[in-house]
Amino acid sequence: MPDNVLLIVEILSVACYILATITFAIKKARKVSTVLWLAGVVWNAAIVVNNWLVNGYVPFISMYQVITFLSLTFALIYLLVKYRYGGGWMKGFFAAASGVCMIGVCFMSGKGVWHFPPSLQSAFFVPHVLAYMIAYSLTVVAFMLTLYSFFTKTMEQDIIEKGIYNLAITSFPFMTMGMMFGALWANEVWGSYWSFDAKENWSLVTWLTLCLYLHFRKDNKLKKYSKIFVILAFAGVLMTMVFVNMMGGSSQHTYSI
Amino acid sequence: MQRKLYIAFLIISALLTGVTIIVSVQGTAGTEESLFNNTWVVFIFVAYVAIQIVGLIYYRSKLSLHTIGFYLTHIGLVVFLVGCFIYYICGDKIPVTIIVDQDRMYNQIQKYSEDGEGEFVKLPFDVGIFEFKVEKYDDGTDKYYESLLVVEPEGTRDVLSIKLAVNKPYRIAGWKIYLMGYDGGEGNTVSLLFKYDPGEYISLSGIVMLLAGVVILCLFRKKEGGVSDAG
Repeated sequence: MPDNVLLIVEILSVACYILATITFAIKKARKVSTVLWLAGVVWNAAIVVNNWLVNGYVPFISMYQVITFLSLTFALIYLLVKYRYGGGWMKGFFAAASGVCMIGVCFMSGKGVWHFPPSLQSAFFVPHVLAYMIAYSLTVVAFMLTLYSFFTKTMEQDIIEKGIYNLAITSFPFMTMGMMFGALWANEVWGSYWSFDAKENWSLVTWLTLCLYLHFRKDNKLKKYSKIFVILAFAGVLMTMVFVNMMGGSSQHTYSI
Repeated sequence: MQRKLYIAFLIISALLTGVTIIVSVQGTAGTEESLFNNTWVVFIFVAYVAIQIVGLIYYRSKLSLHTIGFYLTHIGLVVFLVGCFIYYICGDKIPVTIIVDQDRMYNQIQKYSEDGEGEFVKLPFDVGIFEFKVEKYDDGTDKYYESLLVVEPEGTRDVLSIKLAVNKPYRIAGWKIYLMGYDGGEGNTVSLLFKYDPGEYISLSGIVMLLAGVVILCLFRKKEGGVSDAG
């Protein structure tokens, strides 16, 4: 896809996601919202397919490709949340998350030549990244719901809190899989499960924080503090995915921005 | 008791986060090494294992899939970390550079300590690198490389020829041999890593238990937080 066409598709995707979020808040426009959301997903998927064809392999080469894929992951995860937990009411949050990611994508360069270095040629590569994508998508939406819970009326609190819990507890196994697949892979390629590089450390902090949320929520007295950990887990996701790359350093996980 | 354990877990997580932030801010390999190879950090991990064990002892619940998930998750974590501790205490990891030469076999490798002192470690096999080949992308970066590893186990006359590649270590007599790199030119020398990890299978069992446990906990929940939301 030529660069200017790619940019148009990105903008279309953003527009559809944002309009879907806005129209979802209007009760009478829910069907329009669904159509707009689907349109956003289709444009988003078109970019992912394009990246895949350019690479000849799964599009996880650069931050541009990872964020484009992450944006699409929100849509796929929404379907899981809807049918498993009846979380259809969360659609606006998922659409908004996809939209925000795609806005970021519009400012990134889609150019890149796929080099698949020997260390990445592993069966763990795709499951490791994919598990983290799913986990992070769920954590981001759990964070958005947490923020929403601070500004909404008391009657809805219980539903929102259960929604946050459902997202967090679904995220946790994926985050654990991502971390453990990474550890197994590292043991096959570098001879150690853990190298304590910045990305690994922050992913551990994110995992521990989400773990604390799940534990604190079980205790009647500590429960009121539990949502703090969802906010911290989101901060951990940002650190792991974005800021570690920006800081550079000697991480074994750095890829071009 | 449960609440105290949660608070202890919070303190340990905060300590680990603090160490991580220090490393991220200072960002040098030296800082990272000095902090994470520090006895205090090992102590934090030991305390983490201790909390898990106390939690397991105090946990009371009727037998259900949720309970099985709980035990698998927590025991799995402990087993994984115990496997890692066994390696920390009894294991060994020795990087070496070997000349690619059909006439050279080695039955001991030199290990250097932090103060630069060297000692020879005897291997239960003879080993040599007979061939090396590399494929490159158009811009000269590495696409794939492999070595022909020749191994002769101690007390046998068998000579084994193995294609050793990145991501495909070779196991022999409790050791794992990794291809880590080469000299960057024509491949006259290659970098290998010899790892002896008596806790490896314990760690792997822990990982399997942990993964099974978190999936079960997610799928089969206690009613408290697991009821369906309003759709």
